[in-house]
Amino acid sequence: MNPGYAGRTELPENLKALFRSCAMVVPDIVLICENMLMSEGFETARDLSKKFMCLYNLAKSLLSEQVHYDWGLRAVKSVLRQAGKLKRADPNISEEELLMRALRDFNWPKIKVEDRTIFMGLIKDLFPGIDAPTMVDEELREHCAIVAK
Amino acid sequence: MQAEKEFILKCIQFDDILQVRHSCFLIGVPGTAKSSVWKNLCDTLNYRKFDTLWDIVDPKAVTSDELYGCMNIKTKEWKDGVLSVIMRDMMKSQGKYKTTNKYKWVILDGDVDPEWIESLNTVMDDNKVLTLVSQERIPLTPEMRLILEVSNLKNATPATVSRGGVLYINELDIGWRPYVDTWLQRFKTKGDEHANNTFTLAVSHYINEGFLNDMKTKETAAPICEMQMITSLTTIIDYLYDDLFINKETVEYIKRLKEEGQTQYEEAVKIIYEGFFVFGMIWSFGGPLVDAKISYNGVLRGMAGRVKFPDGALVYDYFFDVLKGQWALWSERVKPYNPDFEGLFANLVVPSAETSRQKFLIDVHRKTRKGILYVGYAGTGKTTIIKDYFAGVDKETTVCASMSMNSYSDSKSLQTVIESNVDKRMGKIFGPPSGKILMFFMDDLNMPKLDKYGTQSPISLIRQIIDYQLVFDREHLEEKKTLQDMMFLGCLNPKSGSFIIDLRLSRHFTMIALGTPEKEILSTIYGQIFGHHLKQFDNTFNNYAGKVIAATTTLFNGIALSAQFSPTAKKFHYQFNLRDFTKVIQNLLLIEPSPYARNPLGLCRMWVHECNRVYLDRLIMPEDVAKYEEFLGNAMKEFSEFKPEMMTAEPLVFTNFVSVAKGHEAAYLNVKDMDDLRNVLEEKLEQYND
Repeated sequence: MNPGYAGRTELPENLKALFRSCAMVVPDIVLICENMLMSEGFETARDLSKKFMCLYNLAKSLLSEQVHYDWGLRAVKSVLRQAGKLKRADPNISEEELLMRALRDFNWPKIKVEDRTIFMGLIKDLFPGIDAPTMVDEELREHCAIVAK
Repeated sequence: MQAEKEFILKCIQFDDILQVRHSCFLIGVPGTAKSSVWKNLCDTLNYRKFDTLWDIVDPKAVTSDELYGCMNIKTKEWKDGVLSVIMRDMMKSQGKYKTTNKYKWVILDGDVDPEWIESLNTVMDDNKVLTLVSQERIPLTPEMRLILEVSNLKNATPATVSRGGVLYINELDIGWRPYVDTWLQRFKTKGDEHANNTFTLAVSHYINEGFLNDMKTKETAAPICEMQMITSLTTIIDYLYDDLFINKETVEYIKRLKEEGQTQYEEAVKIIYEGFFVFGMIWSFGGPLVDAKISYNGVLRGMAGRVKFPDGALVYDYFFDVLKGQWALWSERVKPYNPDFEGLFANLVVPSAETSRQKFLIDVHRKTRKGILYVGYAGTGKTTIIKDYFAGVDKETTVCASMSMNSYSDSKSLQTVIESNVDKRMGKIFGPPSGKILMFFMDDLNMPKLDKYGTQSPISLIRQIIDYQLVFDREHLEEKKTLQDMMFLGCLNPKSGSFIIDLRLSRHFTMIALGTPEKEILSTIYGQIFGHHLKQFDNTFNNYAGKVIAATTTLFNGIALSAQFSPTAKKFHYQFNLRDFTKVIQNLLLIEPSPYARNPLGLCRMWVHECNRVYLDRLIMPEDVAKYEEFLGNAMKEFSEFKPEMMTAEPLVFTNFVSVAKGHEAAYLNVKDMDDLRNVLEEKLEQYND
């Protein structure tokens, strides 16, 4: 149950009485993150997971309030899966760079113009000295251009 | 389309997201090329031989039951919904879908609200199953994707947002530039260098950053986006440009110019093109303005370099005369008023500069089937303009239909009216009889009630039709119908109903704000009507048409512009608009020549009486009455030959039944004696009681 959500109804009291209620809290995402990174094959999972969550916590508090921003567990998982994909595609690149690319490129499309500089600043602070160009499927870009014309 | 860098980047990002997530939100304010992004990516995938098919539905154009299907409570009979049919076809690879398709996209283009999207929660997360009320479960196969195209997520819960990937398109990411570039390129491909050059220069000269920032500070009648004004601009110019080579007079003129010599020809053509551009600017950027019309007039005059406007009138009063190469007044194009009109006073239309220019603009838009939206308060002639256009339209090429919206109108009732005006053409294609256009007019477009989440279902339906020419058969929801050759016209009063409509719809229209007609237009319209009536009178009534109109205008402006007569909570019925002006004149038309022979004073007294009935009877505060009498006194100065006391002397009552009761012909006359009136009324009352 997710009480207080728009479009959902409250559970009636008489029915509620028949259930034992059990409250859920937000889990410690750092641990989840660390384990997932490890399972995706990252060796420095502990450090990376801290950086990861640090970025998301900062983003949550520093970026503007937008309905479409989501820094929760689902968003974390999809970025981790993406990072794993990158890792397998190119196992020799440094892990920091891989994660930074995944974080930047996967969140970039949803960042509003006003927040872009802040977000880039956060990434640069957490991954200093790493300057990885965005990987673009050149073939796809060309085809897109041809079709657009 | 243009292979603009930012646009291509968005397409690639979108592809990236679709690789990782099976549901994705495409968010951006209207006019930011959301649809173009997914359409272009779809074409690209097809180009790369990744077979991609899609189906679209606006979830708010149908009810929630019609979207997912529902169970008939009495018969337990299952009725399929739009989305359940689409998803089942995709899953089973039936209908147009094949097992060889690499991607199958369901596109949900419409406002998000919890009532329909929460049912999709299980589809959007890792369960990937759509569960229907009938207990049927439709799994999402690997090639299926869910794309939600929305302008905002204000009604979405975090549970929904976290389930999908997000591609956010900022207003400035792509903008209107690529659209204009494509438009300019068209002239190049046509081989018209001059047009391409002139228009390119004009775009950078007129639509620069300073101008756009300036436009943002001016208040429009309803919300509007830049893209909307740009498309209006190109629509108008395209029409003028094409007309140049169709219209016999101008074709010959161009031919003559060419014979005269190359340089002169080039000069003349450039001026004509620039004139077209400026004319487009007047209505695309200046049309939606209300009070800022005056300042926009100054802005445009300052910018129009080679095609200078003559002094005297607003830029709105001019059109570009190709043959002369300069501006000409609309009022010169007005057809004379046909006084022998038989019908209701309310249906009477007097041609004026306003009607002729609006008629022209509707003609312009008719060609490309782009809609026009008139925005204005009550009594500004929104409906009249369109009804007048419909009355004069060529029945061979156009079918007209209209519908007045009210707060109970929903998408189903709108669809019924639209469908009753189209025939089956072939297969699933519907439209007006071939060769014709259906012009569909929706009055009071903003009247339908907003649902809990701020959506109006008729608005969603119209948008679905304009964007995709698509409606779903409401009885058999699996049947899709394509509507062709339709054009929408709309009116809305920003002081009633929901005030405004969704920008995602209104951006498809050219918006034109209508204000209270200027003094000149008022006196032309009513002066002609009343003047014609007075023609049958003797010469003592000369000049009285003008005087009466002037007095009525003074009084009307006094009341309409004074803050004391604005509606408040105590006096909510203080609504004074042009309709009241009309009522005064309409009543004055009851005057007849014989009883009033050589008696202009009678006319003046009658005028005072009509004003009292229309305005005074509505006032409830003593101070308002005093103010009204002051205005009336000012207005009566128009009739300086009579003393005010003579005009207002009691008994000031006009009826047409007292004379009948006395055995005479019915005539609208002053009651000489109040006792007479009382006797007549009492007699009638007795008769009635018997």
